[in-house]
This record gives sequence, structure tokens and C-alpha cells, in this order.
Amino acid sequence: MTNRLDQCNRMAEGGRIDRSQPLTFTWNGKDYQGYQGDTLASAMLANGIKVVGRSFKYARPRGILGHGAEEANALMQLGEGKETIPNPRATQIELFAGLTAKATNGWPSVDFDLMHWLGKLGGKMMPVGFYYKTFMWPEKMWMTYEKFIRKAAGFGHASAHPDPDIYDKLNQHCDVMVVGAGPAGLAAALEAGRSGKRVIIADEQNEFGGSLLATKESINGQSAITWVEQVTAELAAMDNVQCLSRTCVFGYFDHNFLAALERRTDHQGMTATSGSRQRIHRIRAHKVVLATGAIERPLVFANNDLPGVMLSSSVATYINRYGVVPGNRCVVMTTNDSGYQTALDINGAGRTVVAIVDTRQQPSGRLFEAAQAAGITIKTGHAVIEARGSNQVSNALIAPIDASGENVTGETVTVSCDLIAVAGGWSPVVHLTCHTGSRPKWDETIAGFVPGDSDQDQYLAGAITGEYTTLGALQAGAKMGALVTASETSTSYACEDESVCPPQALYLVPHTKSVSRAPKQFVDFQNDVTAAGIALANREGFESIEHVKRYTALGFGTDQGKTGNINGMAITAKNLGKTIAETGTTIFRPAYTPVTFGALGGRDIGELLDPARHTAMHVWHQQHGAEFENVGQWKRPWYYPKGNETMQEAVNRECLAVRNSVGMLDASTLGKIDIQGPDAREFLNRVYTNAWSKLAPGKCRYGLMLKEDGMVFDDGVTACIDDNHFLMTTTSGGAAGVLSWLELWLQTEWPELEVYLTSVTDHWATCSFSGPNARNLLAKLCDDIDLSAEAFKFMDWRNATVAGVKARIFRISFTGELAFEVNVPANKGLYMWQQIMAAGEEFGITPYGTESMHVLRAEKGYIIVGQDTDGSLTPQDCGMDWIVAKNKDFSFLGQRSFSRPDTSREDRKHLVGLKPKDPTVVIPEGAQIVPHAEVTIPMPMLGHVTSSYWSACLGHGIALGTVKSGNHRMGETVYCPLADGRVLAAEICSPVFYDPQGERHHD
Amino acid sequence: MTNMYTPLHHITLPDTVADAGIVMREDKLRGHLNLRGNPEDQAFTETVAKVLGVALPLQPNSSAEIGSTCIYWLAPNEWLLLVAAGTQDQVEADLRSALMGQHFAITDISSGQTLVNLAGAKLDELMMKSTVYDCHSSHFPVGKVVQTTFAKTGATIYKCTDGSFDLVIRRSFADYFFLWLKDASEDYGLAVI
Repeated sequence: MTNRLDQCNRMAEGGRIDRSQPLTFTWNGKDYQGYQGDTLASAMLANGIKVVGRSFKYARPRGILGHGAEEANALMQLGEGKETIPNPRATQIELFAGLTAKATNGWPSVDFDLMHWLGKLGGKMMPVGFYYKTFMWPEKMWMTYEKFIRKAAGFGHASAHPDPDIYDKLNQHCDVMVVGAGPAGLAAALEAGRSGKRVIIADEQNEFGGSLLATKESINGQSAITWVEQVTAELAAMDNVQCLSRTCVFGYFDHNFLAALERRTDHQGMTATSGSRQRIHRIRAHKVVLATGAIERPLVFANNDLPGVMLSSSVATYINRYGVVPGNRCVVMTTNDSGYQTALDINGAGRTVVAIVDTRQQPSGRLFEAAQAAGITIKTGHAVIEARGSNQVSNALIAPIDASGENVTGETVTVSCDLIAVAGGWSPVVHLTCHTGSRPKWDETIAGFVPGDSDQDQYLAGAITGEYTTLGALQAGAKMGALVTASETSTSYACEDESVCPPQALYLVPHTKSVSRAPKQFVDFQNDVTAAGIALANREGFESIEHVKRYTALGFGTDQGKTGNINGMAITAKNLGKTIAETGTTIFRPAYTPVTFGALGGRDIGELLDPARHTAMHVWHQQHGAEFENVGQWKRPWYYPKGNETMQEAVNRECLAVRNSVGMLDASTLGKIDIQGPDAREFLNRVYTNAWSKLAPGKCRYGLMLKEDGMVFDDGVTACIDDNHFLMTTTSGGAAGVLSWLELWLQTEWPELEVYLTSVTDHWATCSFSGPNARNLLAKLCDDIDLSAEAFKFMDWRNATVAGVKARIFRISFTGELAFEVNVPANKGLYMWQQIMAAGEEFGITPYGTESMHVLRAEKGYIIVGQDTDGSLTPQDCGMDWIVAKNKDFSFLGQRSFSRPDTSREDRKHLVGLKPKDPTVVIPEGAQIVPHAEVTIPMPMLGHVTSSYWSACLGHGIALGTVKSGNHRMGETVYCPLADGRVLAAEICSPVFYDPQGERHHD
Repeated sequence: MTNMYTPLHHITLPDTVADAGIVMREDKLRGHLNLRGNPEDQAFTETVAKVLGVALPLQPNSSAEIGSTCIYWLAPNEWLLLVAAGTQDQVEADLRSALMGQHFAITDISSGQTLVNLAGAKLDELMMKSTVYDCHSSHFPVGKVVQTTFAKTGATIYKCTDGSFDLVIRRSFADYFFLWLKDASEDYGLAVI
């Protein structure tokens, strides 16, 4: 393999990359080389790539700013075609052979961007608050603006193809969860692990170590890396410790529940070759140690967004961890000691440090002296007030500033450079603590927000508390590790002198011109929010930091303002003449970094999205071509088409078979509750509207169940097995709700009733066959009971043997025909179904589904709770006053509501039959019912159609619907205006269309 | 018996896996009886102990075992009796006659659910994929019973002496259960014995 580019910024040695494993990758169509261990960002910098994208609003060239989750600019379109992934940060993409990436915006290329020129125009057209101003007026123009904005700006695009990868989830539990594996996290995990507790330690990086991976410091007399390797090995060897690298804890929720995303194969290629690409760990921890570290702040100065302006800590990380020096002539601007170490690292890598520009007037101390000793020029009391260059930094304008940091006090000098490393102080990574509702507190001594008080069993260690020295982090980690395991002592550590000189709090570097006149001073790079934009927002009256955020879009990007937020808040505070503590901060929400939708879905997709419940006869229905309907989670046969039959043809055939001979329905899905105990009857009296005191063993009764408001909520037939034993049936969809409802009353209101309830829905399989030949069919299979109409009456049930199987036979009917329901334990359900089908062959037995069941019951005017009722109908509204017993000893649930004026008024909506005037039409279900054929607006509404079908046996359409005062309007004509312009006329009639005397089912 | 079909009778696997990380076995046609009664009523608990030969477990999430009978604690006044296949009618009749006159409920639910044993080298991870409950041995000792979620359905989970888990699952969810199991075992290999 030839070296197509020379990795001009790669050091000859050093770093945690493997130079024996070169990897070729493609960036914007050109091939480059990096090494195993690189991130895409470090490999790009190694190859001297400066411009990685164009900015969101102004289309300005942007370069790599950071080295991790804080990166605001380097959003990539990774991979191509169906595998493509939008918007990962180059700083978090581990390099693999054949990686392909391009910029998410910039056309025709990031280096020459036409949109840049439009952007300059767009910038003027799109001041801060543009979206809100545009939304306000003129409203109709938004669609026009939006197209322009979407085309000009925005980031990557998602694949339009199905995701080729799979994702899964693990539910984890531990005593101690340690978030972050830097010095504090490792020390805490070590302490907790050694105590024998169940520990999980997670870190988003490819290897543990955090800041120690990029430091030249020592721990206990050894190099920090050696210590990291020893600790990592010790943790890995502990059975009670789980080490999760490449795992970002992205959410922290109540009760110490955390969500973490593990990137399992992202470092190997675009898609996983086996198993899941990513995995979400749902972690429930007794105690949580947050050791999430801190992120360096950039400094806000003119043109600070030019490629070549980078975080100082990131420059040091590229040098020490990846062996890459991202510049030749470097200026380091710092407000604290951190910049000095970076300058020493650049110097040590053999590149030129033009100057350390320290905003402090009189810095001193160990690092200051070391830089002096190395012969580096140090300009104290100075600042880089402006960067210059066309597509990248070529000059820095340096000027003296006063101690307040607010004014330029002298002449500006221009120096030539290609890298400006900025060290603006540190911001603790408080994000996770915010997720549980805690608000960060401003800490003046560290000039940063630290975690506020929390309700969680949460412990903090290291830089998240503003403790920025390695020794301090190690000791805090060990202390927290001991604390969470209730250990008296903790391991002690030794590091070299880390004394620091106090930092200066500087959030906006002054310029010779005013903020509004100086070149743009960027605060939030991803959303192109400038200091001038924040000033404008403040002038326009936005004072609450939450309002400023939303008006300017500060912190809105995929980086959630990890670098820009604090500067933006501080600038707002200054504009408003407040302290930062008074201004406060916005709080962060999950996710800490973006999470793939695929990972959130996990395996709960496709046929695993929602469980499908099957009856014991399901296989038979499948084999016989049934189409299925969802009823709750049940898959019920809907109809059984034969040959090329349409649904209507199949339903007509099935209905006629029931009316003329015999048809069979799988009724196993009905909810079934076994009720036992001496107070079972009294219990039924209270939960149903009708009376149950006299129902004898061997008898069944239909019941209607109401909520306290008197509205119908379930119905079904209940059988008396013996005096203390009943079997209740419920609707298929309502079973679980009814059982909970009954248990609620038993356990909380009527604990004195001696009743036990047991769900037997799944235990019984039910073959329900109906039609004039039903008895003839049953007689072929059952000879141990008298099946005659006199001996086995309608609404009776019997124990009997059917096809050699012990069964319960209920003579009940939902079709209006002579019908029997044979119930057997579900293990024998399929056998029973097959036996009945075989025996019924001579009668032309026809399996029918829920659609025919709906037609057949509607012909009889039987309601379906949930279709014809909607929680607003009383039994009287349904024309079922006959089922309401008014004189029971103990009032039943809902009874009291009948005396409410609203439920007792006469003009409520009543459920009635509707017969279309044109016998050939079927009124669409849901159609509105109005009094007049002429459509006027507004028009009084009378009600709506709840059920509507073609009745094959009657030869015309039938419907049920609710109509105001419907019971008093029999024979009147009402109208259903449809969306297609037709107005269908219908006559209000009795809901019982077929066999009104009920002779057939009593036969 | 040819007229009996268990909830998982029709499942098929594309090929058998030699060194499967997960091994599933349906304990077919086991008798399942749901028993309810007052645990503070000595007459009730003593009568049941006499009939079954072992005292009802009264501690939450505990179990008792004698011969081929296993009793799961389900609630303060509810137990699941797992009895040898085909003996449920006799056990129910024995309990009914012994408890005559007392307030109790016994219900045959043998067809409404099935018992599935899960074992194998990858069992821990499979359980972590499937249930939010902590199945780690320090938290889930042998003999413990919990009613919890299993993927998007529910299960009663019992830890066997050999470290495997017995799961009681509802019949209507059995197909979903097996779909999930097959999918979750994809990385480990699944054998059905």
C-alpha cells in the first residue's frame, strides 16, 4: 500500500496508535491514510485537513475544534447508501479500513462553497430570532423561507433504506455504577471492586484512562499510562466488575436508573458482521459515582471559528494520544495554567510555539516557569483579539488587555501562525446530574457550574466537581469508592507537584471595535450564535436564560452547547448587569450525545413490536386461509376467503351458512374469570346491573357492567357452576381491565366479601357453533346428556362429553340462531375444533370470523361494547333498561348516577337501528347523523353511525347509531352527509332487524 | 394422548445447534392449579399441608417442593401448585373435599399456561436481554419465585437447583415468547429438547 499523502502532521513516535497497522480511508472522495488507534479526526489532522464542513447559518468554513463529545463542527456523513449514518462527530469515530466520510454540508465542496456567498446574504437575512420573527409575520412566507433555509443549511441525511443492522438491549443491575474511566472513575471502581460489590464502570472512549491517555504525568512514580493499564487489568480480572468501554452513559433517570449506549462494532466497519451493532444497557444501580470529567471552554474572539482555532486540551490530546501535531506555528491563548502544558507539548513535538498569550497580568508557578525555561515567548496581560485567514488561520492579532479583561489597552501586533490553541477554562460535565432534575450551581472559585443538590443516591468525583488535578481526582475517586462501599479507608496516591496559579474568568475577549462592529465572535459554533447575536437578543428584551437560549438557538445543536453554553450565559449576564449565578444556566436533557433510533427500538421491532396472542386453534385458522383481525393483542380470524372471494363475498357466504345451516366461530378470546366463594352472588349483584340471587346452577345470564358514572363499560354472560362458584365472561379486549376493576372493588371497598377471582381466559378454548343444524351437529358428538329444547334450554349450560372429551356446553347465542358453545381445556381445543368441523361436514359447516359475527349480531341488535358504546352511554341509552334491577339490597356500581339530571334527561343520545332508504347502500361507519338533507353550516348534529353492514339474509344495508332522543323518533328520517358529497337518508327503527320474537335461538 | 396439544407443540427450529448456548425444554402437560385462601387461617394452611404433604410457602417469592409437586408463592393469598401431568383433577378433588366448608378457591389452569425450562451457558445474558428483574445469583437464589416481565409478556420465573430457570408463561403468549427466545438466542445458538 502506498502512502498517498504523507501524514504531514504525524509525529515519528508516541501516542497510542499502532503505526504497523496503516488504514486507508476516504474523505470527500479522496483517499488518505491513518493508523489503527486513530479517530477520524486525528487521522484528518494528521493529513493536514483543515476544513471539515460549513457552518449552519453563515456557511463559514469550519475545522476540528475538539477531540471528543464536545466537538461542534466536525459532523460527518459516514458511509454511503443504505448503511450511511448522519452526523456522527469525527472526533468520536474510530478509524477502520475503508472508512468513507464526507462533510454534511458545503456545496460543491467544503473548500469552495457557493453557499458561503449565499450564506453572507442569508446571514443578513437571518438575524438572531429569525425563525420567530418569520413565524410571526408574514405567516404565508414561511414555506418559502423554509425551503431556502433547509437547502442552504442543515446537516447530514438519514438513509432512506431499512437499517441493515440490529440493535439490542441488556437490563443491568449493580451495587455501584461508575460513569467515566478517567483517574477519578478508575480509582472509584478499583475501591468498589476490591470490596466485592457488583460494579459496572463505563466510558465512552475505546479504552479506559480518560485524561490520563493524553498526559505525561506520573502516578505513584510510574507513568500514568502504566497505572491505567494495571488498574484496567485488575478490574477486568474481577468477576464482580463489568468494564464497558465504547459505552456512553447518555441518560440518568430517577431511582438511579441509567441508560448507556455501547458501540459494539462501529470501530470495525459500517455494519456488524454478526450480532448487534449497538446495545443499550438499562442500568439500575444502588449507588452512582459520576466521574464524567470536564470540557475545556473555547474563548470568544473575532473570527474564532476559523479552521485552525482549537481547544488547547484537544491539541495536547492529538499530540500525546494520537502522535499528531495539528499545526506548524502555534499561538496558545490561555486564561489559566492549562495552555502552558499544551505549549510545552507542541514545543516538545518539535513545532514552533510563536507565543503563549496569557490573559492574566501576572501568572506564575511551576508551568509558567517550565515554559520560560523552554524559551517560549510569553505575553502576559495579552489576548488574541482576532484571527485572520481566508479558509484557515494565517494570522493572529494580539493586543494587551486590562486586568478586567474588558478593554484593549495598547497597540495590536499581527503574528503569522496556522494554529491558535485556546484554553478558556474548564466546564464540569454536569449533564447527567441535570437529567434527574438537579440544577447546576455556579462556583466562583473554579469559574464554572458544578452539580447542584440531587435526590439521587449519587456521588461525584474528580473534574465534575471542579477538581482538576490528577492527584485530586484520584483521591476523590478513591474516597467515593470507599464511601459507596462503606469502607473506612481508601487507597492513597502520589503525583508530582500540580500546584496551580488561579485562572482568570474571561468569557468575551475584547476587541478594538465594539461587539456589534467587530468581526463575528462565535459563542456556539454549531448554531452560528455570536456575541453580537446574544447582545441583540438581550436588547430585544430576552432576559431569562431559557428565553435567550430559544431565541438565539444557543445550545440547540447536536452538541447541546457543550463548548458554548457557559460563555453564552456569562455574556448574557454581563449584558444584563447580573452575575452568572443570578443568570443561571439552562439545564441539559437526555441524551448526552445523540443515540441511534435503532438502538432505542432494540429488538422490539417487526413481529416483536407487540405480542400477538393466539388461541389454541390458531394453527388451524392459518392453515385454512383466515385473514386475521387485531382485537386487543389477539389475532382473531376475521373471515376465511375461498378462492378469489372478496371480503364481502366471504362474509355473505359465512353469514348465510349460519342462518341456513351451521357455522362455527373461535370464541376462545373472550375474557373468562372464575369466581369462587360464599359471597360470589352478592359480588355479582354489586358489579352487574341485574339480579343474580336466583340464578340456579346450570343456568347462565347476560350481564352489563357499569363504571361509577353509570356508563356501560363491559358485558358478558356469567354461568352459575354451583352456589359458590361462577364463571364470568368479558369482552376479548376488556378482560384484563375488568379483572383489575373487580379486584380493586374486592380489595379496597368490599374486603368483607369472601370471594376469590382467578383468570381462566387462556385455560378454556371455545368452539361456538350457530345455526338451525347446531343441535343436529352436537348430537353426533355428544350422547351423555339430553339435548332437546325442553331439557337443555336457551341460557342453560351442561357438563357433558363431546367427542370423548369432558366439556362444558353453554347454550347461548350471539347470532340469534340456535347456538352452542363447547368449552374444553385449551390443550384439547384444536382437537375439539377439528372433531366438530369433521362432524359438521354433512351440514356444510362453515368457519366464520369476527366480521360475520359483527353482521350477525347487528342483525339482532346486540351491542358490541367499545364499538357501539364509547363510555358515554347508559343502559337506558342503549335501550337496555330491561337489564337494570332497581330494587337490589345493595346498590350496584353506577346505580346512583341514574338519578343525576344529565343521565335521566330524555333527550340523550339513544342507540337505535338505522335502515338506509336506498336498500343497496351501506352507510359508512362513523358517518355523522343530521336532521336535514340540505347541508348548511353550522348544522345541528344528532349523532353518528356506530356499526353498519350489508345484511345478506335481509338483502339490504343495516346500521346502528346513536341519535339524540332516538327512542322517541322511531320512523323519522335522518341524513348522513358524506365527504364525497352524497347525502344518505335512513329511517330510525328498532335495532333488532332479524327475528324480533327471538324464536330461532329459543328453538 | 393425541388429542392434547401443548402451547408450544408446533414450534420448529431451522436446524439443531450442536453447542447451543441456550437450551429450552417445555415441561409438557404439567398440572397447574391456582389455589387461593387465607394464609392466617390455620385450618386452611394445615389442611392444605396435609393433602399436599408440604406446607404452603408463606414468605413472599418463596417456594416449596415435594416429589413432583412444586408450590410457588404468588401473592399473600395465592399459590400455584405444579403437579405431575394428569394428576391435577385428583389433587383438585382431594383439596376440595378436605377444604369443604372453608373459604378457598382452587382452579385448574393447566391448559392456560405452560412450564418452560431455560438452561445453558448463556442463560444469564439471555435473562438480562429478556427481563428487567435482576436474575444474578446473589439476588435470585435457588427456589425463589418472581412474577415479572419477559420481553413484552409476563412470566413467573423460578430458579431451579441446577441453576436453570423454570418459566410459567401464558398459553396465548407462547408464540410470542418463542419468537423472542429464538431472536434473543441468535448469538448463542438455541436447542429445543
